[in-house]
Parts: sequence; C-alpha cells; structure tokens
Amino acid sequence: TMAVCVAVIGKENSPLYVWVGSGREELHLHYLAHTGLDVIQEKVAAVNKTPGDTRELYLGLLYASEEYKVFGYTTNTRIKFVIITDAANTTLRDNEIRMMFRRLHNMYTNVVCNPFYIPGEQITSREFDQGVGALVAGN
Amino acid sequence: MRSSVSVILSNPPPDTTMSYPDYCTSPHHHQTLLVLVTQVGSQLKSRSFHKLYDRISRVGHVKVSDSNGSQRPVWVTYRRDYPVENNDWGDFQTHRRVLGIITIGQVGSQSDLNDICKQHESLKVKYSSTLYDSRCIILGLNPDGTMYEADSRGPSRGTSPEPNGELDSGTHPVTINGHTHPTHVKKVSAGSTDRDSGVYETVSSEDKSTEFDSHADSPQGLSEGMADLKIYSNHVNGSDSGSESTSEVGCCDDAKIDSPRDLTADSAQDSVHDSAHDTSQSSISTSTSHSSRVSLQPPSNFKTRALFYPTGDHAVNIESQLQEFISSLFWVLESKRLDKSQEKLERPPLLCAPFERKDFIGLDMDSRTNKKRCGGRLRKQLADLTLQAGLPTEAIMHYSYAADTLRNCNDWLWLAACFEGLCAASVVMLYPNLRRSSGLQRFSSLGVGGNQGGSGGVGNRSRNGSVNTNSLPTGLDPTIVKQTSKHCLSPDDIVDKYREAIVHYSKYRNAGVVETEASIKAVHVLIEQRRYLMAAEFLSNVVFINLQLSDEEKCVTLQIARFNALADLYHQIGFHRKASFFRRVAAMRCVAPQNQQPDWGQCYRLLLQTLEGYKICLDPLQFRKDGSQGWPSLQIQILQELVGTSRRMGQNALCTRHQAFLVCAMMPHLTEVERQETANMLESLSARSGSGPVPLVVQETGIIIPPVNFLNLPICRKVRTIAPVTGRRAEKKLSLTGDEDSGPFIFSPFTSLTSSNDRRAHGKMDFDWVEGDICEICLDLENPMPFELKVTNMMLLTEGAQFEAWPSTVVLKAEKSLQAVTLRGRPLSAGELRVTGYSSTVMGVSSNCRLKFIPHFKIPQYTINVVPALPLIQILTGNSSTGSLGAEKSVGEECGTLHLSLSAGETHECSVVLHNVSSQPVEELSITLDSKMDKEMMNQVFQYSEENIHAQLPIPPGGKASLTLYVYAVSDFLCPGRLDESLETTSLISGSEPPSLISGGPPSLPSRQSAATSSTRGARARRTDSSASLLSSRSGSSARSGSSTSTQAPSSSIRTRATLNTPGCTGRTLEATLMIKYSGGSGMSAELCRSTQLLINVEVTPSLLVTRWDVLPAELPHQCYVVLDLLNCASHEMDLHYTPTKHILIEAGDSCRVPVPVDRCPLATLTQDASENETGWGWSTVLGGHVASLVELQWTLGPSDTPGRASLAGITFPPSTHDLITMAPIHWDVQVDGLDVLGGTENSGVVGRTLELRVGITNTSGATLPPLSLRITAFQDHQNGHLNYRLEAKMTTTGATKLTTPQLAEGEEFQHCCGLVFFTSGVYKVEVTCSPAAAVGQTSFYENVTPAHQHAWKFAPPLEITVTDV
Repeated sequence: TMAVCVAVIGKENSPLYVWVGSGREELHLHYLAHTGLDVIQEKVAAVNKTPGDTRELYLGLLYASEEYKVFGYTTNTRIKFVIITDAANTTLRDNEIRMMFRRLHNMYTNVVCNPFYIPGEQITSREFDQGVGALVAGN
Repeated sequence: MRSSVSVILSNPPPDTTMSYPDYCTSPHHHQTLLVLVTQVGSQLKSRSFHKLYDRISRVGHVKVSDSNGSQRPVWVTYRRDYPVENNDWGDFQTHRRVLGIITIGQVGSQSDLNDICKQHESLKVKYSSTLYDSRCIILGLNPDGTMYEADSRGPSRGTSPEPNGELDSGTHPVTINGHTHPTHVKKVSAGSTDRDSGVYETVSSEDKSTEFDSHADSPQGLSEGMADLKIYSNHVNGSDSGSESTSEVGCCDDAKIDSPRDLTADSAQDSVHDSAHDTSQSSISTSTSHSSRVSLQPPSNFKTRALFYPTGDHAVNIESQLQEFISSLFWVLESKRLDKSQEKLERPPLLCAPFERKDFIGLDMDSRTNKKRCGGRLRKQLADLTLQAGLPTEAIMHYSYAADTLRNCNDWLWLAACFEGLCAASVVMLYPNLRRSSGLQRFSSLGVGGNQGGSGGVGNRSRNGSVNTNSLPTGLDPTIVKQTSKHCLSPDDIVDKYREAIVHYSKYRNAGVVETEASIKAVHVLIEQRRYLMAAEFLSNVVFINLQLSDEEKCVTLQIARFNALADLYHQIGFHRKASFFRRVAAMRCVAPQNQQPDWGQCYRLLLQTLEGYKICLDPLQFRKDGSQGWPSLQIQILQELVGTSRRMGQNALCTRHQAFLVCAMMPHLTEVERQETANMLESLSARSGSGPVPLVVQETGIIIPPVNFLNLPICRKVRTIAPVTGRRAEKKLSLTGDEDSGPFIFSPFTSLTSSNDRRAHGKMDFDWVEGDICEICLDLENPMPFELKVTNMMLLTEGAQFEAWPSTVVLKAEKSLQAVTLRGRPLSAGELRVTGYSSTVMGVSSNCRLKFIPHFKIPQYTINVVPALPLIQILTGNSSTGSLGAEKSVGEECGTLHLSLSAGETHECSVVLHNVSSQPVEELSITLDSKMDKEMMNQVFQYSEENIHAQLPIPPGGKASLTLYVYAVSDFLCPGRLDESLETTSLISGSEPPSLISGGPPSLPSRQSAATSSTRGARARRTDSSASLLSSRSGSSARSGSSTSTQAPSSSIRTRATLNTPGCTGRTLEATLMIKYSGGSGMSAELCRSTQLLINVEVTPSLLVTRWDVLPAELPHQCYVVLDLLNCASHEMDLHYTPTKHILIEAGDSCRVPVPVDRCPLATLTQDASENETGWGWSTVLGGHVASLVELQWTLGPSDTPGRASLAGITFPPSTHDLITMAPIHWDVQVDGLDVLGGTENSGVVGRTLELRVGITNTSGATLPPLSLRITAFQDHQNGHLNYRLEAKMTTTGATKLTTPQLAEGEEFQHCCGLVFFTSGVYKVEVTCSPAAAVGQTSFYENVTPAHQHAWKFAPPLEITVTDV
C-alpha cells in the first residue's frame, strides 16, 4: 500500500474525510493527522505573509515519527489533505507523494462539483471512497 | 529531622550522567551565577518560604563596578533544588556550578537552630567542590540572637511608611559565629549613625579565615571590590533599569515599603560607609536591652554568615543583603577568571565531563593533540567564566578561539559545548529580552503573568508582525551590534551553531541531558526569531533524545515533566495541537499501568489543559458555536479520558458533568450505538451523583467547569403558547374597547398587520393570561436518541411575574418525529411574564434550557401579559320543570350547549345555574342573548329575568346563582301553503259574492246556522256538520264525533286523516347563544371581564298545524267564528283546548276542524292600524293580528301531558272575510213589536197581524258615515240549502224595505219602521242589510281601502219569525 491514512480536512480544520488503513491504530493516526495541522497552519501562514505569492499546494513532509511520515497539501480554498505513509516505506519518493495529492485533489474537486454536496460537510461519497481505495492501493 | 539530615549527608553513588534536564533552561543561563535556595529545618512554613524565595529571586541582576571602574552586569539564577550530578558537570559548563547557597529556616528552640545549622553545613559539604559562599537566613530570632515573641510586637508589614524609623534594635540581623561576643560585633555596612538597620559581622580573624577557607581568595581584593560595590535592586529602581529588569510585576508589601528613594539613599550610604570600623555602641545597646530574653546559640561548627529576622516581614534589608552576597560571589568568580586568563601553564590540566574520566584512562596525556585539547578545554572554560562575569564580548573571543582549537582535536563534545557557549554569548548580546521569557514562562502557569516594558508577548507568541528573523532588542541597530562585537554570531549562525552542537552532542550517549537542554535553548532562540517551523524541528528532535534515566521510579515523573515541558514549548511556538498531544501523553503517563503511584489528579489537570488544542470548550454553548472546527474522534477520546480520570479521582460530580458534555456536545458525531452506550453510562454515573445546572470548580486548580444544559436532548423545535379557551379569556370591558388606532382606515396593513407581526417576532403574545389560572405552553420535542427518552421534572422557566411552574414527566418515543409536550403552570401575580425556557432532567442531568441558547431558535423569549385574577363561572343547566338542582348537568367548561327538544308551541322552563368555581367573587354580570333570529322572535322564544340574577350578586367563590330561562318553542302553526288556498277561497268568494251576501250559501262558506254551536241545538248542529263537510277538502275521512270524549262540542269539529309529511309538518331548530359577561375580584378593577356562552339549541318538533281557516259569522253580532282545520303533526294524541271551555282530542296525524268564536275587530282599531299601512294586505295583517291575539289554542300532548299553546300569529284573511271579522260601523237596533231582537231570539207572530219591525242604525264607526242603503228582505229557509225569496203570496210589507239613510254623524242614530204582514203560518226569516248607497259608492268610506269590494253589513243572525195561525 502507498499510504496508511488519508485525511481531507476542512477550512476550519475539522475533518471531512478520514481513511485509515485496516489494521492500523485508527486513533493514533488521527492524532498524527491532527497534529500535522499545526505544521500546515504554520507553513501556510508563513507564505501568506507576502501578498501575491503563488504558493505551492504541496507542503511536503510535515513531520516524521518513528513509524510514520506525514505529508501535507493544501488547496487554495484551504482544504487540507494529509497523507500518512509508513516510515519504513522507502520506495515512496517525493514525486509519488505529489502525484497522490494531485489525484486526491482531483477527487475532491469531483466531490465538490456534486450539487448535493454542501462544502464543509463530511464527505460520504462512494465514488470518493473507491477513489481513495485505489489511491492508497497504488493503482 | 535526623533522617532528613542523614539523607543529605549520605552521598549518593557517583553518577556520571546528569540526572535530568532543566526544561526551563534558556541560553541566558550560561551567563548566570547559580545559587541554591533551600528550606532547612522543619519549622518554616512553606508559605513564608515561598514569600521569601520570591523576594530573593527578584534580585536576579546586580551591577558591580569592576576594578577598571566599568560596570559589570551580574545575573543570578536561583534554584531550589539542584542535583549534585549536575553540579559535577560544572567543569564542562561553569554555569552548572552551584556557587552560592542560601538556606532559610525558622527556629523555635535551640534544637531547631542546631538542626538548621547542621543542615546548612551539610549542604555546604555537598556542594563544596563548587561553592563560593553561603548565607543562612534564620527566622524567629531577634538580631541579637534572642527568641522573638510574636505577640510582643506585630510584624510591621506594610503598615508603617517609614519602617526604618520604626525598627528598633530588636529587628537587627546579626551575623554570629560560634563564639559570639557582643563587644566584638561591629557594623559592616549601612548607616548606623542615623539608623539602626545594618548587618553585623563578628570581627574575628579566625572565623574570617574559616569562612573563606573553602576557596582561596585574596581578602584584599574582595574588600577592595566591596569598596566600589554599587548595588542595585532591580525591581526598586525601575526608573533606570527598564529593559534590563528581570523583576516580576507583583511586589510584596515589603517591597512597596522600600521606596526607591530610600534605597538609593541606603545604597549611597552603603557605598559611602566602608566596611566600617566604628560604632560598637549600638551593638552594645542591643545586647543589653534584650539580655533578659532567651538567647540561642548556634552550634560551634556553624561557620556561616547567618541573618536573623524575627519574621519574614521584618527582613526589610534582605535585598541589600543579597546584593552584597551576589557581589561577593562575583568577586570570587572574577578573581578566578583573572587567574585563569593570566596563568600560562606548561601542563594545563585536563578538564573533563564526568563521564569522560574513564575514557582518558591509559591515554597518553602528553601527546600534542592532548595538550591542545587541554588548552582548548581550558580556554573554553575561561570563556564560560568570562561570560558569567558579565563580559560576553570577551567570551565570544575566547569561545571562537577554543572552538578552533577543539575542532582540530576532534573533541566533539567540548566543541559542541563551545558552540553552545558561543551561541549563548551571542544571544546575550542580541536578545537580552529573552532572559525574561524563561522566567515568565515558568510562572505563567501560576497566574503571575504580565509583561513589562520591552517587547510585548514574548511568552505568548504574536503573529501580527511580519516575520522578523533578525529580531533584535529594541533600540539596537544591527550595525551597532556588529560593531560592538564582530565575533558575535548572526541570528542564522546561532541556529546553525546550535544545530551543529546538537549533532555533536548526539554522538555521546551520556550527553543526552546536555543535548536536550541545548535543543530547548535553540528553541527559545528560534521562538525569539519567530522561526516556528524550525523550532518545531528542534523540538521533535528532543523527543528522540534518549535520556538515560537511571531511576525507575523517578523515570515516570521525569517523563511526565519532559512531555509537559515539550507541550509548553509547542504551545509557545503556536503548535497547540502538538502541545495538546504531548500534554495528553504526559497525562497518560501519570496513570500508566507501569506507574506504581498513579496520580489521577495530575492526569486530570493535564487533560484539562489539552482541551484547547482539541478545540473543546467545556461550555456547550461556546462549543456549539465552533463545533465544526474540532476533530470529533479525538474530542470524544479526550472526553472519555476525562470521564474516566475524574471517576478514578472520585469526583463523581465532575465525572457526570463530563459525560453529560460528551453526550450533549458530541451527539452529532456519535453513532446510534455509541449514543446508546454513552447515555447508559451517563445514567449510571448520574445515579451516583446527579448534575445540576451549576458550574463546578475543579479543586486545586480553580478551573470552572460550566454546566451542561441538554439543549439538544430532547431537541425543542417549536414553542407554542396556548391562549386561554374562550370561556377563560379575559376581555376588556365593552366600555373600554375603544379602538387604539385612530386612523381613518378600517383596515390598514401598516398598523394591523405589521404590529401584530412585530409582536409575534419578538415573542409577544396577543392574548393575556389570567392570574391564578392554569396556563399552558406546548413544546414540540424531538428525541434524537435511538431509545425512549424519559424527561422528568420538565417545567417552564419564567421571569417577570410570579409563576408557579408545575413539573411534568414525559416519555419521548424513539422516533424522529415531533412529539408535543404541554407544560403547565399558574401565574401567581399580574404583570408581564416572560417565558425564557424550560428546565428538565434527562438521564439524571438537570438542565436549564434557555430559548435564546437553543440553536435556530429565533425568539429568545415569549412575553405574555398576565392580568389580575378574574372569577370563573361554570354553567350548569337543569330542567327545573322536571328535575331538581341535583340533576343539573354541567355543560362544557367554557362554552356549553343546552339542547332542548320541544314540541312546537311548548314552553319549557330551564334553570341555568352559574357556579363560581374560582376563588374570586363574581361581582358583575350581564346577560345577553344573541341569535340569528330576529329580535322579536327571540324575545318570544326566550324569556328570563335579568333583575333576578342581579339580585343574586355577588356570587361568592364556590357559590351558585341561578337563572330561569323560559323557552317557548315558537313555530309557525299555519300551513305554509295557506296563502294560495286562502286566495283560492277569496276568488271563490268574490266570484259569487253578491248572492253570497244575500243567501249566505256559497259552497265554500259554511252556512250561518252551522256556525252556531250550541249544545242545546243538537239537531241543527248535525246539519252544520253536513254542510261544513262541504268545505273540507279532505272530507273523505269518517267523522268520528263519537270517539271524542268531549260531550260539549263533538259536532263542531271535523276530523280528517292527513299525512304527516305535508309541508309544515317537519321540525325546525332554533338556535341562540346566551352570553354571560362577568367580572369580579382584582380583575374587575382592571376593567376586565370574562364571558361565557351557553349555546341553546331548541329542536322544535311539529305539533299542531292549521292547514286552512275561514271566517263565519257568529250568532252574536259582535262575534264571528274563525274556523280552523287543525292537523296534529305530533306522534301522540293531542288534547286541544281551543276555547276556555271547549276541547277536543285529536289522534296523531288526524286533522280536525274547529270553530273558534272571536270577538270582531272594532273598527276603531282597524282604522287606527290600517292608516299606518296603506296596502290591501295591511288590512289582512291587522285583522290577522286581531284574530291571533284572541285565539289561543292550548293543547296537551303525549303521555306526559306536555302543555303547549299555539298562536295564529301571522294569519291573514282574504278581503272577502274582512267584513265578517271587523265590527260593523253601525250598530243594529232591531225591534220587533217593540221587543229587542238579539241573536237567537225567537219572535212569533200571528197570521194577518202586522208585526212592527223597527230598525235603528247607530254610527259607531267613529267617523261620519256616508249615506247607506238599507234593505229589508224576508225569505224562507227550506233547510235544504234552498232559500225562497219569492214570498209575494205569503206575506207583504208595509213601509219601505229599501231606503237610503242620510249621512250619519258619529253616534247619530237613524231609525226606520216598517210593518210585516204574513198570510200563512210558517217560519220566516228577515234579513236586514246595509250597504253603501250606490250614489255615493264612488266616494265610499272604504273605497280607498278595498276598492274592489262592496261592503255590506247584515244584521246577523237573520231575524227569525215563527208565524202561527190564530
């Protein structure tokens, strides 16, 4: 698998969607994603200081623990994506992480395009579920 | 006591690693002198210790003039606890050395003093390797060593503006040694000439030498230095210290006493006066004055300068004492520094970190590298000392040099230390403010916060400014900094060097503590530079540092401290989530299973601190507002932990509160199963300790846990205030219902619509509640839980007028639909009542749910006006004719219905009882009837006496008043088809009118004789039967005269079987509303009243119907017969009384004809009434009215003999009958042979003899009568319907039989005489007729009334003469 946790986090930093790989400590990964928000917030705030600065959406490695690496990505509408991977997984390179985020972003865009979805609500889309499943499976 | 001393005395096994890192460390610590302040002895209260410690720790900065005359800042770090292992690292980093010790103790006896001295000495031994100097502050003794009695004099704390003046010798601190001789005491400092405060020092050469024997110092240098000593108390002279000051905001009372002026004067004096040779005088006086008291002697081995104070509050000069102490430390340090900098050793000693010692065993110490290493290390230490001595610029130079040397030797550990020192020196230069932050941060949790001067918000980071990585002290230009020290590191370099240092440290297993501290220092610098991301990197590195913590038990607390410190730091860099994460980890460590002594209280306190990071606000109202921001799964987790922890603490109330919050606030994020579980748990918890809607205070911390109100359990969707029902509503009295809006418009959308809408929007109700009445509010509730929800004690919360709310218990079904719940209560006083919400107890949790807090609820409160109490009447109705009052049945509470079923014409008497069921008397009452019927008819149907009921007022509470209502079942007894038939008759009559006038025998008209009903003339009556039957249209039925019980007039009535469903036989319903308006009590004075209604419904069943009628002349001239065809429509036999004396039985459905003698209508009334209406029918109506007023048909019906009466109201008569009904305008006065002839009089004559007939006409019409033509006609009645007028052969007349009368004035009489001669015997009849004269016919008196009709008046009955033969 490519990732152990995928989280979509809303503008106000509440989770819209959290996927946790089966057999993982769900709460622990929640904590990781949650604390990653601190870093995202800091990174975003640092860039926003200078106006007119087009910032990169991909925020890179937020932080790493012994077991996991936490990557972040934020859209221009301040929707945050967090992907947590196994620290042991050395095959993953930065580029692949970027690709995952880009796919995730596309999927999220599709969700938002659904006229029945109210932005800011929890995502309960089957298509999104399947998309995330495919994403983390690496295909 | 003994044991504690022995613990201190027993040396712990030597440990090469530092025991634990100081998480509050900061780069500035490199600059400071470390002083240990501890409490000794057992008598001192920790509070007074803390007070003193606070005062001591404020003296953190002293400026000393060095030998060159330049100012040197000296910084001090006070520690209350310092492990000896850390002290052992003093060679590695000199700021880790304990240079001074201050002990504080309280004595109450000699043994206390001995203990204190012993402990102090043992501490000195413990830190002997590094110690420069020490002080022992002893409370409870007067300066002369005598016991202080607390009651002798109260402490002077703050009450005295001039403490120095007040102080007598008793407060003097005295330095003593083992062999104190009062004569040897002399003053060391302070102006003794004018004031008595000062420090005494025993001048004893041997003691002096022992005092400083621990360190080889030159006493000369010391005394020289002290000569130039200039002491600053940094909190006192805040005027010039400004940004340099490290003092806290809060000052104790004593500090306020010392005004700046005083102390500067003091210090000036201190500087003026040298170490003093004078005045043994005052000391003598002190010793003598207190000679009588117990004097305590310190043990002989106590060789420390001791300061005696009676209490902590008397220690006014402690600051100056400390300054003196610190400067003494400084001078020792300075001398050491100078020594080190000057000596050029051939073989420099090898300085080692503690753990390194064994590494160097067996190494060649003489190698070149080693020498270099030694030199480098020595240089590094010199740099440390220089930095401590207040010369950072110089220190940087030394550090740089040392770093170069050490790098070449690959001495990574010391190189790292060198870098760290370099960074510290640079930070000291660049960020002098940083030192304050550490101090602040340390106390921030105690709530002593507050910033002063300089850059605001060091502790709590501010993000408002742009990122300023070159954060410099205010007013310090970077270029100036560059100039001052070109070796000073740039801000970026500092971070790099720290990083490098940490990397090097990490190579050594035993340097974990140093590495940790270095990281923390770097973090502090980064925070100052506002480079938070990088700070986070450093911090995350700290997590991975493996601290070799030896002690298993201590390990846990250290771990907790570590995570807590990390959390603090993360908090400082704004990583609240991370901070909360670590805080929670720390909390969990407190109660980890491997922890032998779980501290649930601490765990709980730490958990509470994590809430911010998880965006939990324990106030559900606040939380709800930004509820979407949190991370629900984590919030639930932390709340569950809070619940668990508080339960383990035994704080059941808190536990319930948290669980309630969990249920309430996290409801949207809980699955149905979880809801069930949490609710079950809450129920079991609240069973142990219920939760009311009051805030709870967490012990020790003072944190307030706000109440949890179950606003969403159940969810209130709608509130409906219910207006009182009609009968209970309070109304304005009629007199007051003047319209408020005076506009010209009946309806204006601007006033009526908007105002009421406005009121609605603000929750103002447009009805009133009445004091003392039960009032209701209906709530639509929704149960979000997947189970049945029991809500107990649910009642309204109100403001304003007094209101008695009644609790109710409801069980809400487990479904999503709205369920209505009615809450009741009773207003106890008049005024404005505001319903602000409701309270309820759900699952053991009581909550007050205010409407304004309920989400999506627009109306914050409902305002209802409560009017003063009014009485309430209940209407009871009873049938007074059948039942007693006991049989009354109550009609509905507010608006009753009285249903009566009456036969038409029946009169019913019902009693309406007004029962005052309230506690207010009814003092006013008015009754009105309201109906769709016209007024006249209503009055006919209903009758009551209002005076009667008024006489019964007031009705006391519980009392009754009754009103008798007479109901007459009014009905139209005339057959609806009557008009047509009457007209038909009219046409018949008019068609054959001229003969009818004479003969009286038209088929439609009953013969004159038949109308005469007399029991004495039975034979004739039979004839009338037959003739009358001609009239009956339905004569097919058999005459049943025999069946009648009546013997008087069987023959006079004709029975016919009629079908009951002829028109007019169907029943009708009369409806009316009895409105009772009443008032009383306090509401009456407020011009209010109540009204109640009684709806009366009378079903009228048909009883008697007049199908047809006609008029026949009667025997008496002033009477006529109204002949009625009566139909019994009722289902029972009817006994009909149609005259006072005559009655007839009519079977159900039978029809019967009865003649009713009626007095003819006097012409006067006719003309009177007719003049009012000019139409032809007016006459009919008037005549009808006349007849109706005279004819009253009374009947009894059915088994119960229900009485009734029928009237002929509305009956009309065709014009042809008018003359019969109306009284003739003339009065007949007929005489036969001088005898008056009245109706029925028998006259007899003899054949051949003349009978004189005198006819007199008197005008009775009341007006002048025009000429009339009078006719006298004789005829014979053959009794077979044939009248024979041809009597020429049988009789003759003498005189005129036809003549015209003159005009008769009113009352005038005209008389005419003629003779009748009969030739044969027999029965003759003479008809006397009067009709308007043809000549004047056109201007007839009646012409204008009935133009089409010829009037004729007959003398009736006709004169009958029986002629007999002689």
